[in-house]
Amino acid sequence: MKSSFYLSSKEVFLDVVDAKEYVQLDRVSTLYQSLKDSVKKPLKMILLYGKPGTGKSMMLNKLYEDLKDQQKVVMYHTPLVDEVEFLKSLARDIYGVRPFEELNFTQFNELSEHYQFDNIPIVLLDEAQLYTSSLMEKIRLISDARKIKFVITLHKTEKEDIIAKEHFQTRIWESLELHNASAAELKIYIQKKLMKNNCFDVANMFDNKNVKCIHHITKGNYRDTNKLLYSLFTLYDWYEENQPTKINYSNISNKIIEMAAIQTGFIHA
Amino acid sequence: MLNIHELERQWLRYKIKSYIPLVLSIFASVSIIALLFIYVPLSDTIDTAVEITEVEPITAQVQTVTKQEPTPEPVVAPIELNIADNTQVKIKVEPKEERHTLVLKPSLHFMDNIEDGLTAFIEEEMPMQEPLTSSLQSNDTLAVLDDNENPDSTSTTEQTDENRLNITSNQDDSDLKDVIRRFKKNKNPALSLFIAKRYYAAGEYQKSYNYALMTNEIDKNIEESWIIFSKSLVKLGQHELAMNTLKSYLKTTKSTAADVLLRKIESGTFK
Repeated sequence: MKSSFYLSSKEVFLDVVDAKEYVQLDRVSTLYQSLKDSVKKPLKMILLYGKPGTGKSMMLNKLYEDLKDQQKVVMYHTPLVDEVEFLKSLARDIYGVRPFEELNFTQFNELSEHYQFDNIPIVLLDEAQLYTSSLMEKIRLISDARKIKFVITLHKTEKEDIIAKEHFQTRIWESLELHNASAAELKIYIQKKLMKNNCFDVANMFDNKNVKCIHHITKGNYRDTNKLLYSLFTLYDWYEENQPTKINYSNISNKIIEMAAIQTGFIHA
Repeated sequence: MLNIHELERQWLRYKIKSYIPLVLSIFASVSIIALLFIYVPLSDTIDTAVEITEVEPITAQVQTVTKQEPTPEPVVAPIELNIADNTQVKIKVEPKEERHTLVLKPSLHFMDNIEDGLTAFIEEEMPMQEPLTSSLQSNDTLAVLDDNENPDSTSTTEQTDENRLNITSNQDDSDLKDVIRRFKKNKNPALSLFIAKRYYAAGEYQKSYNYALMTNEIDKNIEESWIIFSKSLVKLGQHELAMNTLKSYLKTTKSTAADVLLRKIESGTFK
């Protein structure tokens, strides 16, 4: 049975974007509340940005889950790079229209004039840095017409900063930046995630030294932390089955954390 | 498929690598401390070497004082006072004092002028006592001192010498080992001459011979060293060698003291 003990902990850290797995931390919680408040304001666009793995997609997903029962919300996890495909998808998901022919930008604007909503529909666009400049220009124009409100996420790189400046500088009324977790936040994140999945014993095995070691390796990046801990529990599972005498059941071993880091490529031995 | 053993080996390599900077920094700091320890004793020896060279003129001053005041009764007290005064001076002495000893050298040229009369006088009288020269380090001034004194005053100087011997030997006991250690480090001829003189005074002629020899090897132009060397040879029964040494020394210099000593050895008054 002890084998499943680590195996179930391993499954907790599978890198999936699921709003049910969203962990509330003080700073993240404040940011999320700011995002929700911004959505209620008559803003045209809201920008959510940060380094990869800081939880942008998860927050966007959480927002979708929270708003979907209250108003019209559409979320696109993967970018629709083709302009016609993008406009057709919007017409279908917001107005319920399935155009058989090609839909151009003018036709879409004409279509949108026929529909009125109490709350302006919200479109959530993840990985917006992958959209073309031309399409981003169309998105800007749609938002200017106040027919649709956009919440977009961007990776914070030099290139994406330029995109943000060129297309959204004057139009974004709210921008929120997400950061990596501090060591204290990371400890809460790990323990909350484990406890949500009933892995209480394993959650208690993490002490400050372990978290410091993990934070040193992942710099508090949530995606990297998930990857590292998944590898860590894979190793623990192996030791449990093959060399159980090497496991200390009261604490997580920093040695095994470092071994997991070597295996995942965070440390180059 | 997990290869845990390979992973453990990689982890071990990683740990060793991560400790290398720590080990290097510890090694560097230990090396710096070691270098500091080496440097500090060197500076000590330099300071003390200067101190010792300053001692030389002080003993000479003691001798000149005794020469000027040969009165029998108060001899003991004044000498003690002189020594005490000199030790005080020793603390205050600046490097200028060292130059003062060099200034004294012209007085030896003055001795050259009266050489003929002096040597004749020595040959006639020769009342010098061995322990006296051995207790006082500068035999040149002693020779003058003895020649000028009557037998009574000689006996009193012997008494004062005993006192002086006690005082200087006390200093030797505490310092001699330290001086030898410093000489081994810096090979200062002033130190080796000092040691040679102290051993000669203490009657350890083999050692005084050795240190005088070392002094001569370092610096061939120190007259006192040649004198101590020759005297030690005589004390060790090597009269011929002592005379030959002095003769060869006199070929290159006009040392009155060496000449006087040679004559004494030849006449058998110095044994």
